[in-house]
Amino acid sequence: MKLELAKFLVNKIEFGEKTEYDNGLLRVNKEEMLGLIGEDYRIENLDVDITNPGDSVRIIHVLDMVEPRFKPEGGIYPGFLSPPHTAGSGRTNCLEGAAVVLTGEYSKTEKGLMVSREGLIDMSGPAAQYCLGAKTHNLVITSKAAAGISNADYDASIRLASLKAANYLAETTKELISENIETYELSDTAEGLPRVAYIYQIQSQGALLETFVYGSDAVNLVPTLMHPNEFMDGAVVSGNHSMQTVPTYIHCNNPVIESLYQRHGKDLCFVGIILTEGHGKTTFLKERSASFAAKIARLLDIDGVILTQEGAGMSMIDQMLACRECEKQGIKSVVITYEIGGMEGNDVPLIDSVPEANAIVSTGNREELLDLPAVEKLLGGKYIEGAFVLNEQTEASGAITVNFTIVYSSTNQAGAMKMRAMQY
Amino acid sequence: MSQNIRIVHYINQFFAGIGGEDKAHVGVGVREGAVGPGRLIEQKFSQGRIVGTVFCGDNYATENPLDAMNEIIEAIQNLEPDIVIAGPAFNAGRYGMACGMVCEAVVERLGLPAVTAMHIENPGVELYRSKIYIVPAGASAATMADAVNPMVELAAKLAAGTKIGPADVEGYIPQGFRKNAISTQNAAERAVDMLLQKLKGEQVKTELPIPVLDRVVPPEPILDLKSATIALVTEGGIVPAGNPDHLEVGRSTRWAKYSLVGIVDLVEKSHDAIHGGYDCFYANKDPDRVLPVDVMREFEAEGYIGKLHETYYVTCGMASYVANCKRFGQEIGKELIEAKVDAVIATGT
Repeated sequence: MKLELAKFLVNKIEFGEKTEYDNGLLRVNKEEMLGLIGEDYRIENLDVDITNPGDSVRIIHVLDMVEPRFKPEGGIYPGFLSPPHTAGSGRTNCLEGAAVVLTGEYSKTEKGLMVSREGLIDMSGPAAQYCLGAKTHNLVITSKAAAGISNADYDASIRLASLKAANYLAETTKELISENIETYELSDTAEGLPRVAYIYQIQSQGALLETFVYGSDAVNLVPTLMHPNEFMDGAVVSGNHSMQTVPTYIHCNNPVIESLYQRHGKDLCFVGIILTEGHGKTTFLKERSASFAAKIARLLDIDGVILTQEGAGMSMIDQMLACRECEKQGIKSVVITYEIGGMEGNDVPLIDSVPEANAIVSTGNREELLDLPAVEKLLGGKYIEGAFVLNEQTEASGAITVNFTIVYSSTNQAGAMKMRAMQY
Repeated sequence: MSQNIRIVHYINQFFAGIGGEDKAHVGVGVREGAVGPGRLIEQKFSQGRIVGTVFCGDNYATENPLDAMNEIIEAIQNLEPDIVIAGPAFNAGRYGMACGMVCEAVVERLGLPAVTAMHIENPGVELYRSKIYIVPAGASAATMADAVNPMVELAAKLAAGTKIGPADVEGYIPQGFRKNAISTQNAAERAVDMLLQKLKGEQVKTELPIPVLDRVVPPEPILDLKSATIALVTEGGIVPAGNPDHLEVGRSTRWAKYSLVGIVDLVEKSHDAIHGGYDCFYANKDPDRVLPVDVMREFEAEGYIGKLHETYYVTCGMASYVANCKRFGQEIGKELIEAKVDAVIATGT
């Protein structure tokens, strides 16, 4: 399976008369964009805005982030924008440095899982170095749920809107030739090197907290084998709006996949991806999932695995169980995880652990506090809700103190960021 | 900046040259300049000099902590230091505790930086590491130079007001909290590096060590209860009235044992519940609620069990260190085996 990723670098986004990619400048015709994504009775107050790195802009109610990608022969975001045929071959164009940032305001009549657990992006200031989305040129979609529409329905409609918007923006490169084409192929030059797989956990708890594999939610997914290129074409799409979960942008630009590809044929043989679902709802499902993941690794004669998780407690247990099962089979493991160590960093940092997890990479303590200064412009809404902002009553454009939990993807669970926690 | 940092050094009676265990009761004293290990400290600390050495007998310091600390702090304050260095205490338990206490008092009462050094197993480490900087040292004074170097390095930074970084960068024993920082590589790149090291069989330095705790597997059930001797052991803090041995209410460093000869029922005022981790009101009303002597005596009378062991063992488990608890278990277990006890009922709160 060979994929050519043709990159078109974006260094500015602005509104204009024609939607086009012009030598690094991405121009967007706002009316056309709204017409494309706005024909849905479930969405109200739909708008799009743009923002560039360094702007005094704060985006709140961030639900997902998508990289503009387009396949000239079709097949991007399979299961959503195209049939669920195996992706990951041929040519894919991407607007590197650009992103569609999806925000949204749910109806407040629903409770429990059906409430928003949103992120925040600051385009400048102290948070910008920590959050995903601060270094990209963003098209920001804002809207709210139409009256009488369930949050699950609204969520499904804005997800489709964000994918369409991403495809529409990257389509501007249809007739263009990139000078920067990267080829991704698991060549056979790696024979004799240690065989490595990536146990890639996604979370699907229910509506608003779900992840899609070829368009279908991954609830109770039996661990399955995938090629890394499939992810680059959007085979996995996030609908998982829970603080530090993995955005669609990262599913397409997964840093573990990127790092393993870079070492493939040099230090290791990258064999493939074992996709698992975290948040197994019973001990039975947890044990079955961990055993299946380790079994696939053993059948592939794997020497070492990297495990990431998505979610919190339940998913951490699943990750640890899979780690234990692999080590039991003699497969070396490294676990990437965030920490939930309290605001002072003195609480037990993991909800679950096994002694076999003796090689852990930390993506930081998500509960530490961060002070944010006031900004000139606020996008996405007016107030941040929930326990992760200490000034719930302050309009979110003001100076606020927040938990890293809502600093978008700052403790990214797939390992995309540079933050880590250190022992003092 | 040459030698203008004023250092006060704290040591015990032994390092002050007064004497060993027989002189551990001596009180607080002051000597001008550096004494004993202080000379090495001064030699290494190029930007500072020891303006005075405060010493105290280890027993005096740990048995009269309030008086001793008042006197020590007053002596230190009179010397107008910029920083206080205590020890190294190596694996000397009471000396380590004293160094910890002194540093804590210097930080809290005088608002000055302080640093000490001791062996990782010194009880002073667990008690004070969250509040002060403790540099790891060897078990004995033979390792003096190894302990003094990192202690002086850290002291120099503290005295200069430099922000102190993570434990493994600065070389102190972790204080017990974690803080976010930016790394040079993203987590995925670090994970692949770590995996390759692991695959090569190299030593891997995890970014988050997981405490490995023992799992206690319950033994097989007793087949013949009728002839079994059963003992009561509790971490619930039930002691004879007045707590005659001053057992600690939590963070325990010791356990106690008491006779049950002639006792058929624990009642209010015969025994006290002293545990610091639960509301003792109901246990004080009827201590059998935590240490069920009454029921055991009934079983004994009915012949349901052979007999109740006539000694019970007690400590307070609250926030006690695992290493101490493990030692309690081994020590108590040894006595029970020697006494030919067949089974134990261990109550917890």
